Amino acid sequence: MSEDFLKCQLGFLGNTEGSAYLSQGKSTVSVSVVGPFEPKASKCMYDRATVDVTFRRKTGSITVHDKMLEGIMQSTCEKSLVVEQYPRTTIVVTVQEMQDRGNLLSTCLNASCMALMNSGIAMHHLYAAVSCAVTENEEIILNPDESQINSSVAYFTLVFANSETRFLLTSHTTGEFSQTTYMECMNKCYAASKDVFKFYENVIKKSYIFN
Amino acid sequence: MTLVDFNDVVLPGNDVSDIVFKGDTCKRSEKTIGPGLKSVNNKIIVCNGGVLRSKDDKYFWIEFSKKKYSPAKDDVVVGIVAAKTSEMYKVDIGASELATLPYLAFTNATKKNRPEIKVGNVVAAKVKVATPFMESEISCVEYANSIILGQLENGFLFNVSLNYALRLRKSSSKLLYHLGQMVPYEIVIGANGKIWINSASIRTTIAIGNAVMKAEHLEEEDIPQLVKNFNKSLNV
Repeated sequence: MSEDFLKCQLGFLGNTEGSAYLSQGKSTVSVSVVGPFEPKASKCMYDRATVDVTFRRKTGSITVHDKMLEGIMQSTCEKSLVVEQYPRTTIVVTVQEMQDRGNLLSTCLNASCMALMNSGIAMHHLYAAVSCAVTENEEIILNPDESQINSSVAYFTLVFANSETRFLLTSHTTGEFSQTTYMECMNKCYAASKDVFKFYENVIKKSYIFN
Repeated sequence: MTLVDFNDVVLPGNDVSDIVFKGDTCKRSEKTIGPGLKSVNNKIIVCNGGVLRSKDDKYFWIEFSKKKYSPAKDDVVVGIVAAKTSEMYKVDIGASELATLPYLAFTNATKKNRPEIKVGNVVAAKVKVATPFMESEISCVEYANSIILGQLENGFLFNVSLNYALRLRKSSSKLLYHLGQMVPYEIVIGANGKIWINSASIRTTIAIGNAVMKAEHLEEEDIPQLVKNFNKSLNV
């Protein structure tokens, strides 16, 4: 992964609890986190916080596919947050697409992780999403571009936590592939996720440099 | 596993049990973990990205920035009265929900002698009950030697970050002392990041407010320069 593949700016929105502007390759999203605040009585859970993820397209209304991305992000965010610490509240994560040139899901997930960390809400662990494409001759490309995704036979987005052991949080796959290919992709993505965590660490170190 | 040390940046999910349990100044059971740390299966796990701090090898916590106030018992907070019911006020203290302030929780208040506070007024109060499962309860009752609580009249209210509010409340903060040498003023700093200021004229009140807000990202040695500029702006 090259140096300037990932770029991130934290806390650029003033009125939210946390925000992140992350670009991964040529895709860019901005994420805001609001909460925990008191929700409507119908959404309220007495022992834990609810996590609400909204995805917004650059133009137009969202499609069924976007709703699915929302669902993936929602379950991943909820798993990593300490929801028991904020009972009877809701945490709203809004993901705004700025530019989509492939790997949108992994960009959204990485950006939401940064925004949640920026908000100061307690988390069990961080997570890093890595995408990879498998070509017709079984070649694995990490962080493929748009044309490589379109010509691939299978496309994966795998999310790992930063625990000591390998901890797969989310796996989203399209296309046909064998089990061995999947395992090989998982190994490669896990190795690549280490770089993403290193990037997170550098961003946080920069923001605490004055203390 | 990378080894972390005190005053290092840590990330959520990092395991810091090694460093917390290290040393034999006190028993393992006497060690106390604070904000940003939790124990899972006898391991100490970080849950907020920030700087690991310790005191006397006994108390451990993470210093991190957050914007949402979570009430803690005996915190002094500044709040805005948002609603009135038959026996209590609802006060916005910047937490996830409104806090309750009973009519009887004022000094010298009785059933007959109710406090006269309207919606929109500002009060300084102490947190009495703080649990995430219930609305927090605040009180304006003053005890002997306690600070003065109750309605804050006139003045100017603004918000700063929670970390900055805590820093200002520390006795090592020289800013408020220096400002006080230039012009007399009253200030209430709530642990919830709300600051109330009052002085003889509106002009000085706004000038003090600006100086306090500007000093958030300044080093301690740059404070005298800020105070100098502040004094100049008063005499224009």
